[in-house]
Amino acid sequence: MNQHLMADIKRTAASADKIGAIVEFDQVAKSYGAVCALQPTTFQVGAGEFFAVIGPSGSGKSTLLGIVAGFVPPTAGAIRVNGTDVVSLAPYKRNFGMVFQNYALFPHMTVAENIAFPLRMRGVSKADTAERVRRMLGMVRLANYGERRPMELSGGQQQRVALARAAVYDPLLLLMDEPLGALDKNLREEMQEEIKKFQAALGATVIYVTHDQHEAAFMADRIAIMRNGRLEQAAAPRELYERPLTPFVASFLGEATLLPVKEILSQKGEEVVVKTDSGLKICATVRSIAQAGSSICIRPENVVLGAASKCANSFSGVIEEVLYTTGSIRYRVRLADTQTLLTARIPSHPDIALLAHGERVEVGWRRQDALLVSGD
Amino acid sequence: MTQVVNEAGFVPGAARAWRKPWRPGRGNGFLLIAPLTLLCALFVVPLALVVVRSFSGPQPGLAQYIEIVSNPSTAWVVLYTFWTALLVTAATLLLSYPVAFTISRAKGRLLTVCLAMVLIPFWTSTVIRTYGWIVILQRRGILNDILVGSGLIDQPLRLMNDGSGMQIAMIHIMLPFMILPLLSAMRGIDANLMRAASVLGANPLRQFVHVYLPMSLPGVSAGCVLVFISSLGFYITPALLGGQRTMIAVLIEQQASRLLNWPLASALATILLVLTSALFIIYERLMARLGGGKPVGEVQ
Repeated sequence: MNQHLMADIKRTAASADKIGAIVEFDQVAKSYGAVCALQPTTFQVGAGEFFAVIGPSGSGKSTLLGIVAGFVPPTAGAIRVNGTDVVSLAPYKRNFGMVFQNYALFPHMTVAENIAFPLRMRGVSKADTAERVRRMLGMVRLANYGERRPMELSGGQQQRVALARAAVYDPLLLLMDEPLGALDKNLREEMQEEIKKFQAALGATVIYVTHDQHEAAFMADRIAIMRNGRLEQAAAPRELYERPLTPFVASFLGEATLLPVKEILSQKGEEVVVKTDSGLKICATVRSIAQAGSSICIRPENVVLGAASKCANSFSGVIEEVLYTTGSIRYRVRLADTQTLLTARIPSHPDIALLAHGERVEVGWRRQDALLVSGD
Repeated sequence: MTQVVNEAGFVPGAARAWRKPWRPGRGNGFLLIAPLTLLCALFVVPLALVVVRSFSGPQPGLAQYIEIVSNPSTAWVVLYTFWTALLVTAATLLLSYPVAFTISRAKGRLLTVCLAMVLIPFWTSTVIRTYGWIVILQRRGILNDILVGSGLIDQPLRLMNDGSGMQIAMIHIMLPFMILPLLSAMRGIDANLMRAASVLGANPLRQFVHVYLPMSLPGVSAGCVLVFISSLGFYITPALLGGQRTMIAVLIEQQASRLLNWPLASALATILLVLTSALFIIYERLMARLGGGKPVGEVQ
């Protein structure tokens, strides 16, 4: 973006007094008869925070967004935006912006009319509307497309129009429902950066629903992982990846080998020694009191292949599967003649020879890299 | 016969043929000879004869047209036909819009039942339905029995001969022609658009005015054109229910088969044809200019 546009963006951000709301979810719940779509959920989204909600389909993330937008009345709880409960307000009184998965642009209006629509609904003067639409079109790099119809634009361009329309009235909160779901991979990555810049320029609070964990990790300040209508964990992407609280979080975000624990042999502070279901003795790290029914989580990139004797955990294994992916090699190793399969990922390099299927290999990992996570 | 195969192993002719997009009818024009002959012999030529006769008549020229315009009774029939078509179209639209809206939101069994209620009358013969209306509307009919019997009115209503009965029956007969195009347009409206309008600050009335109504307009215009044009040329119902108030089609029939005034009947038919075609062309132009619209034929 050129200097002139950057100045425009700064002005937009500075001129708005209501930007970046604090959103508090207080015991928000939704059930359809006996079916519980969302269990009582409490969390807070900070002013100007980019908050992603991820989870498999049917996990309640769309219900959550529908409740925030006002399409779905919650069964219980309150949503406070800057301290005011909005649950009883109709969607058109909430003053939020929303980007839909299929963009939901009005096909009978031009791009400029689409962006002007929320301003028209708010009784903004014609001159002011034209100025704000022009500035918004510049921000999403569609300055010359105002007179086109949405159908004449590409998917990415329609996406940017939807973004402009959702943000032109400086909404308290921007909601995005899988906005990049319909785009191909390259365009999606491009748009991820663009939305990120856009959000930073506006300073808006964003709640972003997606099923793509990479997208969420790349874009969000914090991620909430949903499962079966319940919030499993909400934290910064790095925290979620490196310190997952549950096996589900560990396996949903990135790849992990999970070894179910049979019994806790000893615990001293953070250090714990456990015996797995398959009979392996493993030294691991735990952040709380170790419980029965937990699992050991090992990230594939932390597994050392060969020369593993220096590690606290060292086993002999057999290569079961070799998979080359761009930039790295992924092995599945059967541990010490048990049924346990360990996933290891090492960076690929021309000097490294591939291990063959059936080859015996020494594998190991440090105590810090084996994390005890509780829950099912 | 040997085929020439180039180095790449392709038959050149085959490759060229493959690049041409397949289109129905390419090189198959001869298939149209039979229907075209039939159409010319039974439609285009007789129609041309009608138009020619309207100008030849006993004395060549515009005599028949001058007669239609200058004679108050025929001029009145032309105007009354237009007025009736307009009235029927407006009433049908007003009645159909909420019905189509309800059906477009319906699901499952309700949808089946609603559609059946629209389609079964649609499949029933117009003659039968018109006689049905005669039974209801005549001087000693069901409606008057109820109204007089309940003491609401003293004298039975005269609905049979002043045109109102005919208009009521026409509205009823035309309802499916309005509901079906409306329904197809309304079912195409993405529910997310209304949600989007709502989040963007539009209350339910404004959601309707700014988003729903404009998006249903192709259906409205298709339905209106269909009903208006059909009403202009309506024959059975005006003939049975119209009484003294005749419409163009009835007048043509009277002139052609009872009074044997073929030139006048031809001129009336030509007027109906030209007006109907003009209306259709205006509609097509309008829809092309508006963009989003589709021609009548593509809506259903």
